[in-house]
Amino acid sequence: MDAEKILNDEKLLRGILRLNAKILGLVLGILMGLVIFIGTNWLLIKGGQMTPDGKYVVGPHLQLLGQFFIGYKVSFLGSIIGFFYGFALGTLCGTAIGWIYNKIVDFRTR
Amino acid sequence: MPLREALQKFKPGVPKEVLDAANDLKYRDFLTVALIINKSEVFPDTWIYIHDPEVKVGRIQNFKNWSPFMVPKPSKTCLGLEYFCFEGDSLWSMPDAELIELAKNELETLGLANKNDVEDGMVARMPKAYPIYDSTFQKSLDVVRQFLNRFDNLQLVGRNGMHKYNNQDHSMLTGILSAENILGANHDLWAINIEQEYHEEMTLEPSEEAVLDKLLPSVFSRMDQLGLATATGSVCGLLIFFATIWLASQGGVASIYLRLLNQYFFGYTVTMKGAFIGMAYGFLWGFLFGWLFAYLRNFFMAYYIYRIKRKAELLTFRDFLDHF
Repeated sequence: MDAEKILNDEKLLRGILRLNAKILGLVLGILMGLVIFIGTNWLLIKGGQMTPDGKYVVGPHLQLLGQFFIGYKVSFLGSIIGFFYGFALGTLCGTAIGWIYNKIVDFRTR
Repeated sequence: MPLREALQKFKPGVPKEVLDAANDLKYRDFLTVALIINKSEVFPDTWIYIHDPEVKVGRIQNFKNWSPFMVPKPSKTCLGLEYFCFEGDSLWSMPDAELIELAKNELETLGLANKNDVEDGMVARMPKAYPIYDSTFQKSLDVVRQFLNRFDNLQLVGRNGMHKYNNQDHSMLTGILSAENILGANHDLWAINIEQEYHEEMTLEPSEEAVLDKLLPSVFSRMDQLGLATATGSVCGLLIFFATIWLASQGGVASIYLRLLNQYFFGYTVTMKGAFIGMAYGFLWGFLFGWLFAYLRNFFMAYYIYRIKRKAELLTFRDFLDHF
C-alpha cells in the first residue's frame, strides 16, 4: 500500500522527462511571432523621428530584420508578416530543440 | 474503559435490563508476535491478510514499511504476526516462547522468511481489540446509550468506549471533540465515522490510475540537463551560423550590427570563418543556458513535489489541527 506508493514516487523522480517537440515548437513559434508583432506595433505607436536629411524613420534597427525576413517592414502589415516569420522560425527552433533533446535522452537511457 | 465494564462498575448499579444489555456487548481479542528478521526486505506491503487454512496467523504487519524509523537498523525487518483470538482461549494462554516458535514456523510455511533468519521475538496481547458486531449488539447498544444519555457529565469516546469500530484517528477525534463538549460545545460524537471516508486508503478506478500513470511522469519527471543543453546549444549555434552566412553573402547594413556580436564573441566577424566561430560561441552559450534552465526546472519541480507531499501529510491530520 504505502510502500508501493513510495516505490512509485521513486520511479517518478528517477524517470527522465520527454519533450513534445510539436508542442514546444508551437509555443516557441507563437512566442517569437508575438514578440515581433508587438515589438513592431510598439514602435509604430511610439512614433519615429526625423533624420538629418528630412526623412521620417520608425524603428531603424528593427527594420534590419527585413534583411532576414524578406518583405518585413516596421509597419502594421510588416508586423503581421513579421509574426508569420517569427512563428515559422520559432516553430523550427522549438521542434529542433525538442527533437534533439529526445534523441539524446533515448541514447542516454538505452 | 470498555462500555461493558463501565456499566458494570456503576455505583449504585444500573437497572437490570441495562446491565443485561451491557453484558451482551462482546469483544474479540488479539495478540501480536513481533519477530526480528535478519533481512532488510521481506515484502513490499505494510500489511497482508493471510487466508491460508494451514496457519493460524490472520494478518502480518511489516512495520518498517509504514515508516523506516519503526526499526532501529535498516538491515533488519520487524514483522508483527497477528492472531485473532478470545481472552483465555488456547492461543491466548499459550506461553510466549511457544507463540514465538509457532510464529516462526508459520512464517516459514507461508514462504515469507526462513526460520533461521528470525533473530528474536516478543508477544503483545491486546484484550478487547475489536467490538463484535453480532445480531444483537445494536439493540443492546441502543439500550445502553439511552440509559447513559441522562448523564450530562459523561462522554463516551474511542473504539471500546463507544463499542464502535473506530480507527485510531476516529477515536482520537472523539477524544478531542468530547473535550470541546466539556467546554460547552455540542458535538454529536456518534456522528463520527458514519459519513467520513475510510481514512486509510483512497481507491482509484483502473482507467483513472492508467491516466495518472501516463500523466504524472510526463509532468514531474526530471529533465535531462545534458540533453537540453546540447539541444539549445545546437540550435543557437546553427542560428548564428546561418544568419552570418546569409549576411556575409548578401551584405547590407545589418552585417554592421551583427558584427557587434564580437564584443562578446572575441574573433567573430560576418564572414565564412566568422560563421564557424559564431556557431561555436552560440553552441557554448546555448549549452550553458539550456543546462541552467534544466537545472533550475528540476530544482523547482523537486521543491514543488516536496511541498505537495508535505501538504498531503498535513492534510492527513487536518481533523486534529482544526481543533488545536
